[in-house]
Amino acid sequence: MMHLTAFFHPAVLLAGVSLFTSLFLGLWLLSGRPWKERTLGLFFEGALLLELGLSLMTLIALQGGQRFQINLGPWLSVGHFHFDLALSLSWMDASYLVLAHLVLWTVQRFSSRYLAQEGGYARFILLLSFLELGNVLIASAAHLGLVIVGWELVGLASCLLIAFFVAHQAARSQSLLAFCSYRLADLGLLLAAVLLQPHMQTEEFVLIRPMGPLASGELIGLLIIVGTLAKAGQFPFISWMPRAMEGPTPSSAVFYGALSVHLAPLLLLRCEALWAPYPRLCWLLALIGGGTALLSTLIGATRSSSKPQLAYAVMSQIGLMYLSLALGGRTLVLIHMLGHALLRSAQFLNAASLIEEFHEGRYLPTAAKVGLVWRRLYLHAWNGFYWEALLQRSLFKLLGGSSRLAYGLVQTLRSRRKFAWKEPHLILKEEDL
Amino acid sequence: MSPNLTPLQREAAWPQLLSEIRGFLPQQNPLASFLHNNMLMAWEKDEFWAGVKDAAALHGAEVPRPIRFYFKAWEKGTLSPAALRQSLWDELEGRGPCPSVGTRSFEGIYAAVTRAPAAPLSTLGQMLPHRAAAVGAERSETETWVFSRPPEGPPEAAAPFFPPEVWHWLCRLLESFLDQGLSLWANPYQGEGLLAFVRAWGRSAWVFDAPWQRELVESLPRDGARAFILEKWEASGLKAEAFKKLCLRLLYQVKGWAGMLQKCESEPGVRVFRPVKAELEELLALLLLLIDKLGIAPQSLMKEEAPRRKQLFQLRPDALRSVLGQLLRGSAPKEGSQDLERFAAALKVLDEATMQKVWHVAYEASFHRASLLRLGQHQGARFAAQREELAPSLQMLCCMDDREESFRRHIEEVEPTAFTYGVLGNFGIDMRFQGPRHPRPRQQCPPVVQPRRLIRELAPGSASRAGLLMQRLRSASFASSRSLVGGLLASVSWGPLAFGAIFLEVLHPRLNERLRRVRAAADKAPAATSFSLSREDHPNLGPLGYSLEEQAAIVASVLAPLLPCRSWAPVLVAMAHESSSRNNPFRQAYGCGACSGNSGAPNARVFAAMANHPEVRELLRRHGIDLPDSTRVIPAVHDTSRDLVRYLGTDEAQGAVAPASLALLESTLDRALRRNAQERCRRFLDQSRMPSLSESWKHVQTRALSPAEVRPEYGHAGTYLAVFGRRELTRGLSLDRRAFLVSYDQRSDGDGKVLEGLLHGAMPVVANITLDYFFSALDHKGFGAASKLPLNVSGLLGVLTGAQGDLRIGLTQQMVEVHEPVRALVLVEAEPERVESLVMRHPRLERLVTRGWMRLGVIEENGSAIRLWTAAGWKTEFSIPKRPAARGEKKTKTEAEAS
Repeated sequence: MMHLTAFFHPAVLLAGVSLFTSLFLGLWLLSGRPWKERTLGLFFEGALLLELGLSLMTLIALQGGQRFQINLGPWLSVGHFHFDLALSLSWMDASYLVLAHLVLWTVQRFSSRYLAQEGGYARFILLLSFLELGNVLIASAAHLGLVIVGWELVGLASCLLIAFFVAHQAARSQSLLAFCSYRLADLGLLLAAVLLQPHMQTEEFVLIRPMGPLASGELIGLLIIVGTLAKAGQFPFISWMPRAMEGPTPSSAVFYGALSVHLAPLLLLRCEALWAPYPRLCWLLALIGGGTALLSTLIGATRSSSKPQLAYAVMSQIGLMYLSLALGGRTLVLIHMLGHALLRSAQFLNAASLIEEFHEGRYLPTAAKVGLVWRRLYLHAWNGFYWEALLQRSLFKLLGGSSRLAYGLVQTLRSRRKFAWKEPHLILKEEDL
Repeated sequence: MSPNLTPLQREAAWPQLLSEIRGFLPQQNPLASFLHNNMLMAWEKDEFWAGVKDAAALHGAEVPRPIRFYFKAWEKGTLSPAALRQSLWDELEGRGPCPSVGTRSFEGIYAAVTRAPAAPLSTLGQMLPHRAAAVGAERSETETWVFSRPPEGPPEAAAPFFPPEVWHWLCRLLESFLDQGLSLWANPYQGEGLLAFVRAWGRSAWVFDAPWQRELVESLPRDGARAFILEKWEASGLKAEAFKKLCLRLLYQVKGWAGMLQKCESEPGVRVFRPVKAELEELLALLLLLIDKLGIAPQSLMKEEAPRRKQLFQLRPDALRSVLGQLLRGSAPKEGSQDLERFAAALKVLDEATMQKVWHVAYEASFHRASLLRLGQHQGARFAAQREELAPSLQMLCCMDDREESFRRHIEEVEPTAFTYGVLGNFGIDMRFQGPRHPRPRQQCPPVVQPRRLIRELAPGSASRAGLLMQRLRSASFASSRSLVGGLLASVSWGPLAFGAIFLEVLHPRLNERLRRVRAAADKAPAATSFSLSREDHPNLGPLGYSLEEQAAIVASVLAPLLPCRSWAPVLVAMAHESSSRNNPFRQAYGCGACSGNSGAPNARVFAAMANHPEVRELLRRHGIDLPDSTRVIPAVHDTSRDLVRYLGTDEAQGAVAPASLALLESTLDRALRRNAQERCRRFLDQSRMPSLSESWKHVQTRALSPAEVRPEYGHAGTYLAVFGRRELTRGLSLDRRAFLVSYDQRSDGDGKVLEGLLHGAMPVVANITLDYFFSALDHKGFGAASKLPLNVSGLLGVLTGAQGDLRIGLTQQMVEVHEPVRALVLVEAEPERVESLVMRHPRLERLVTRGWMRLGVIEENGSAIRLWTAAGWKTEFSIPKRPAARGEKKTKTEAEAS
């Protein structure tokens, strides 16, 4: 039973404030009411600061190592699937949230100047608030059902920000590529949530502590791992992130430098209980992480433009995080994750100053000569180890074929309806024109 | 030329053809040494509109701007009805003055010009693109809400005829090949040529390669790119001119990279960090091979694009008749009547492109007229003689730059006894300069000038060991943070620090700057460094320094325009300029144009050192310039984005100046800078209220210091005017930061040598800057670099839009958004015959003026009349009826006669 005091629970406050912010911004923009963009920005900044304060307080209060947990009662009920609105915050989650809001605040301040006189600032803020809500949900959800909501919000915001410059053809197609990658991987998370549901009991927070050994535990763990791969840009989803640098710089910084990519290791940390007991899954995780780290370091070394180069660097570091997760280095992963998010967001925000830095002599150009032995490797890395070519020749052909089929189907249906609806006096003849 | 050339003829014709092709490629430097240039320089030999049309087709640009842009100007009142009337008249009727019409509406003007009655024009008004709708539709594309459809129209300039995957591969290939040090691994094929790279790439093909990859490699030219091109030329059966066009069309598919490759080949100075064996012929061979393999017939590329000239009015004859009927207020005219034919003919002429041109010409004429009117009415020259008698308290040599116009105006307003002069910002010095922290010497003179000497500044002592260590760590952090293990170490150690730095900088840029200064002060700033001016020949570095005679000649050439003044002030400031900005790939575009985009500070320092040298002063007296010993030259530099002045002189030099003069200088500059910042804020801030002095000064500080700022300043935006003449012509007149002001006094220039130097030195700079802004503003996607927000630094050479693609050339949308695209108007205070003969002697200036790329005018004696150059002779544009001469005027005349 819900009690009034539930509203003053830290997890509820955190989630509530960010939900309110997103809803308010979204509804306000939908209503088409003119509000100065600057005012919208200040509103969002205020909300971010409040959240930052809340998460800091939570972090301080949680030092003892306990967690804040609350169940607000039933949330979703379909057939015999029931999900509760249950939240749970540990010390680790709170420290992630502090970092997330710190980065978001900086990026919000950055973009309020960067995008100040451009159209679309309000849209940018709304999508940023989706990212924030998603982060809060993922960091505080007690079960996968809620995690998925946050996960999808972040994915949506990411895709829409890649296509921020809608008129640019490349931006639209890269956004689509990211969207497809997300969809494919997120399927894993969705299936895991469905499989996990029967094991969930009210008052229990299965994300952290499942009730005894699960029947299909290994499968669930596998699905969760698969579900995290796209967001983190891990193998096989290594091609979308370097191409996603089509949006404005602050969005690249906050999503691919910090708060979208690191959700994957965070989720794996949070539901460690679901995959860590299975050695085979640990091996898989290590393989994926180590492989991606190696591949993307090599590919990144051959790239010559600043943002894709950073994207490869991000992927390789997250690969390392996967590797250390598999080896059990929980604390190391947390420290690595937080430091890395800070480092990369700073590097992304500074990416435009590289020409100056090199020509003023503050950075020295790398003179790494590639030896004869490495020449072959250079070309393979330059080619991205043929992974994209493979995708293009198999998967995209398949996708393209099916989408063309669907398009044809829709066209047929539409033309039929059009035919039926056609009114005689609206038909224009050639000679009329 | 006969259609069938023999192979020998082709081989003989090719080098010439190739050099022509080179000329047509974009000439933009890497951004680190960015220079303003006319990106349509190769078309300058054509008449302006014809050249623009040609170039626009190749660049995929749309010119002039859409009509709604001009409608907006019309609504705002910047576009004058008279100018529109004249422009329409010129288009429809040819030469001659337009009859005056008493109406301000476009419809009325149109009717008057086409001699249709002006009465009920509602129908015609409806046929024009609806004005209100057009103005309302002016929304930026990013403003479009996500749920709505993407904006219509061609979204990008680059609509390559290569399939996207091939095009992206090509761009990535060139990016990697030309990279100057951004990638962690240097491309091992850079020294072997582009085709060698492609060949190796093709051989590395694996199972999943693209099908064209293997085929491409199999048919790569083996015996040289040139032989291959000639072979393809033969196979295509095209004439020389047509083949050139084909090559250009192909190269313009990757125009940014092709231009950069060309630069790397022709100017070794461009490839600073990594040597590249760049050859344009190899790229051309690759492109020819690609279209061959992709099955694109050369002939299909040669087809003229379908003309985009939409008919503005698409009416059937009966509709036209009914319109005319309404116009004539009554019955419809009969078929074949004279009115109908006339109207139809007029409508046919006025297709959309022509209308845009008509509007554009009117738009430019409105700006030119307004300037002429202001200059003509100002009549400042009347007081020239009185002012010359004043004893100046301060004299200041500023750059001719349009951004210094307002600065100079404010200096003169706050201190009436201050005199400012416009000179070329390199202070007559043609040098390369190497500072203690610079890895390489930089060109500190206009790009067209070949620097004669090198001057090096030596650091006095070695930096502290800790500082050196920090420097080394910092420089290593770039590569190591992107590597595997280095990335892990950087994350856990240095990540929070890096974030903290940018956090503070974003949150409070001014506080950050203050802390930085405190840190620098605590770091024991190195003692003032010094440079040697003495002339010597270094075995490795070439000629260094200047002899005393050369120094005296340089100082004399700069001080010549000041000669007619009676006395020298105790303080003569050599004021260079620079612009600070953070996180800005286009930083170099804001620097001093006369110093090749660098800061002018070294030039001011060197100039002051020369002019303060006692022996140089002795030599100067032989040139007729008597600088008294009490006059000191103080070097300083004006930061145009922060509105700060840094004094560059050494302490002892400063000490030689009377403290009162120094105090006056400092207080004058302080007030002038704040006022200048306030004037600049007009464009930055909300215009509903006037920002206070301190508020606006703080605002410009934040703007220049913030890493998030995409508009640290507006640079040369708005400029189109240049005045060569005495300051009195423009003193006290606000030219709205639109004018280049060069001091020139014809009384001190008997044989025209000074004027020749000024015109030939400064006019090309004016043309380059105005035309660069002009075309980028005209179509910021086709000619310019589009929006600055998604830009991505590539290969340390330039920027891309988004993650991959072609190198962007030109200026960004944010740099030109307030710029009104108007061709330059150069006014010279001198005799028309002399100006004409000097300009026509310079081949490029002759082309620019006679083919309509800029306008030339003269200001007659004492500003009594302004005459503009036309092909038919000098045309008086503005004249003041003779009035009873003021006292000063009489004197000037007698003086002029006496001299």
